[in-house]
Amino acid sequence: MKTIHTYLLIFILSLSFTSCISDDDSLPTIVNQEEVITTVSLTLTSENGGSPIVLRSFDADGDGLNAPIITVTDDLVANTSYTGSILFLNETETPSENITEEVIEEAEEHQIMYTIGSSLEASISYVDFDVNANPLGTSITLRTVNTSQGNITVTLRHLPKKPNDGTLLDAGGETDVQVTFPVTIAADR
Amino acid sequence: MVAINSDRPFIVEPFTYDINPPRQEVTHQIAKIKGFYRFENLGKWSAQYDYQRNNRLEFDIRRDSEDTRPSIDLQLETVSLRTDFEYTADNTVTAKAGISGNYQKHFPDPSTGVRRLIPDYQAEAFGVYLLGSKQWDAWTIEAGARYDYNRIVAEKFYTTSLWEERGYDVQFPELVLQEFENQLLVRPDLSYSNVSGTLGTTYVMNEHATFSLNYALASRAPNVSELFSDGLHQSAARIELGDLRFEQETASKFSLQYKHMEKAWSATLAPFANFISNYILIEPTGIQQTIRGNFQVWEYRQTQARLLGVDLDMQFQMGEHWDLKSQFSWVKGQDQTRNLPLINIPSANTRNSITYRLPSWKNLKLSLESNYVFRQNEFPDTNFEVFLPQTETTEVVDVSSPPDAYHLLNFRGDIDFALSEKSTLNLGLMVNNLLDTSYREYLNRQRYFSDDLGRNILLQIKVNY
Repeated sequence: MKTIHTYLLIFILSLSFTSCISDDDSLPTIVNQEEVITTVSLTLTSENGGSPIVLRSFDADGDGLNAPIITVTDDLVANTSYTGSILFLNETETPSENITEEVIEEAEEHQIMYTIGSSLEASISYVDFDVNANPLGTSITLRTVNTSQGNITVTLRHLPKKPNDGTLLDAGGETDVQVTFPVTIAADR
Repeated sequence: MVAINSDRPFIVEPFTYDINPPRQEVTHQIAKIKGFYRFENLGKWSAQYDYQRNNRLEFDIRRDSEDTRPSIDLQLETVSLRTDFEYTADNTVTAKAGISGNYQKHFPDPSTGVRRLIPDYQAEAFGVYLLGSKQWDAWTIEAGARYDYNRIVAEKFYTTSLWEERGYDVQFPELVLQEFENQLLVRPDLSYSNVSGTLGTTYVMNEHATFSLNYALASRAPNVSELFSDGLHQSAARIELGDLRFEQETASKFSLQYKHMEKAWSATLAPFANFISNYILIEPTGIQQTIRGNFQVWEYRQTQARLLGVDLDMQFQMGEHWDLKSQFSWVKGQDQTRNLPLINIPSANTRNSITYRLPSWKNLKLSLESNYVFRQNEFPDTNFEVFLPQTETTEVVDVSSPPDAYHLLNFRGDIDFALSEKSTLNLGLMVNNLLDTSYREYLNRQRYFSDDLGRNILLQIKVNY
């Protein structure tokens, strides 16, 4: 009996005075989020030459709290055809990772969708296609009509239904990126 | 956002038994040692040691389909020790005292290449308690007291933007261990001391009626999600934000119980009132624009809460073979700080069942249960507006309206076959949601996106030997 009481007492004391938390050892290693896309830039080159117009969205913390910074370098010109090429980058890594290449490699599993706001008088057509001749959208042609203002929304969809009717709703899949650029079409200078 | 306002899921795939990503794998290992010692004319001393290891893997759709790594890989190890002494020498007295302690270590594997959902942490808990009761004729008095100590030490990476947005950079600069380009490694060391107690009395009025009254004071330390959540939660498609500054919840609960028993029926009526300070809740607070599109933001918040409720249970025995059971429960929650209803309070519901038993024939038991869940009519308005660039419209995202009331029928049948003298085979057939009713449950996070489970048939085979 005596010994059991002693053991019990030791057990209680050891529980109450020992902290198991070690001050340790090694610190956890940092995880730089992979599969992040920080940058979307759409470069539009006019058929009439001149310096290209760049629509860029940059979100340094990916899906973190800070909102992306959106810049559009210039106005578009009415009644003009532009060739457009898109670039997706992960700039949390050095050197930055080009994600457009990955999208092209897995073309059948991706589609870049362009949604033109109803007030903006412009249209977009696809220039590049996957092996099944369904649109991919890393290269496009943008044709402007009259002077107007509105939004162009660029959405990168992973595993969409292909072919689809060109709307986000019909395409489905998972959104990897979605950015909206405010665009102005100005009269010819 | 479009998915929330739509009443059909965005993507509807044909029915399949295959489980495609997103999916999860869970493994569970337990080891246990238990022992006791009887002291004659005094009581029983018992002790238990437990070790548990849980591993959870979650697989999401990755952009690179060749990449088969999980997106989440968490391992939690728990060691716990428990010992108690139960006094058994006097029949009018029950008394029990105990001590418990546990240690947990959580390790999220960084090789997933996805920021950790739950950080690395070590936690320890220690508790001492004493409870007892004494009976004098028709009266019984019960009392208990408990002390708990919890400590959690985490090593966590915060994005610098979140650390600053929450104001942690001003309040906790000393927690930062290392600074990286846009992340910080911090080491919060949090501890909580809680005292809980209960006092109650039961009075046996006569052979049919019993009345009891109870008061309980209880405290709970905030958990890991409430403290550390800091980003996109894939499974719910929302950003969840916890708060390092949370204090423990403290609840004061008063409850009454009246029980009436007759030969063929019994009924229990149990109302309660619970006043909780620092009640932790999570609610939608807006949307967050990210390069991946817009996501809802849900933030944890502490408030003064009041819960009032009542439970009613009834049983009727109708002859030898049939019995009826009826259960009703109702809770009303109020956020007293904001003077608004509390979010995510279960709606009133009633379960009624009829059972047929035929013990003489293979122990046959058939029961049909009806479960009616009312619509929650008291809820805070947490709707918000969002501009949708595709349609160029500003739309209200309705995240607060509870779904409609629903009624489900469930069936359960059991039958026993004797295999030998000592062993029996039990066959159980369960059909949940018998009528394949489509419904959405207020407390289910997926309710924004799709209906709840349809008809589900389960067959259970059990061998007792």
